[in-house]
Amino acid sequence: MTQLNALYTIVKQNQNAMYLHLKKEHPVYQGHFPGNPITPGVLTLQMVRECVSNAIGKNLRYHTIKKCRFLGLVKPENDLKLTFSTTETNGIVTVNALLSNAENDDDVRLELESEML
Amino acid sequence: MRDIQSLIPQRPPILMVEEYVFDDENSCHSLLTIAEDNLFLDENHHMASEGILEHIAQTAAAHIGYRRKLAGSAVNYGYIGDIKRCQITEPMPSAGEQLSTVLHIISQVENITMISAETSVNGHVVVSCRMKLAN
Repeated sequence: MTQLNALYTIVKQNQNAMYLHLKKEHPVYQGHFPGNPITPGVLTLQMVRECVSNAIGKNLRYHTIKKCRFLGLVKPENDLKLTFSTTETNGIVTVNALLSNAENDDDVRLELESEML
Repeated sequence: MRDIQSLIPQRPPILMVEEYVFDDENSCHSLLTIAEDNLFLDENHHMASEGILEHIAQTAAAHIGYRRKLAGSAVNYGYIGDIKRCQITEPMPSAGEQLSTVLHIISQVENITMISAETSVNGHVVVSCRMKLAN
């Protein structure tokens, strides 16, 4: 199941960025954590993969994660801004991405260097 | 042990460890049989790699929680700080298959723990990585 439209929606996008809105009624927040909703870091990784898949029109999956830093908690009330770059060589898509507070580019929550297939 | 909820704060639908086994101070292993309604199954009923990473993180949390329990402390929240050297090897498992994880602590300083882990399905490694966790 993709998390797009279940956990989050793409509110707007332009050439450089996608703006994401989290849905606080998603059931994951009942378990992570009870009474203290925090978006699981791995689901932010899934959001990046799905959004990049969407943007380049290819159903991507992770092949390697060279480096991925979670730099701040993502609460369901936080809107996010995704910026990324992709380069494709021999079927391997190198994806570097930043997920930050939609209101403040300097407030980075996730920094990713990965290869997808 | 199977009473995972006494070791970690995560609850369904994102409880991703079914059985935890303490091997020694710095190592453990864990199991998870993938349920039909697992949050991380894709439209073809394969597990997304992100779900296996969550399973690894919760295995580390269970180990930290177990040691805290032995020391008489309460279970606390934990977060992934970073993931490195992560290699994902297809095919991803389907519902009904079992994840089997072996995890080693590389270092622990105060509340920061570095681990390495390998998750296998039917004897084949599907995900290996290093992770830093803050508890």
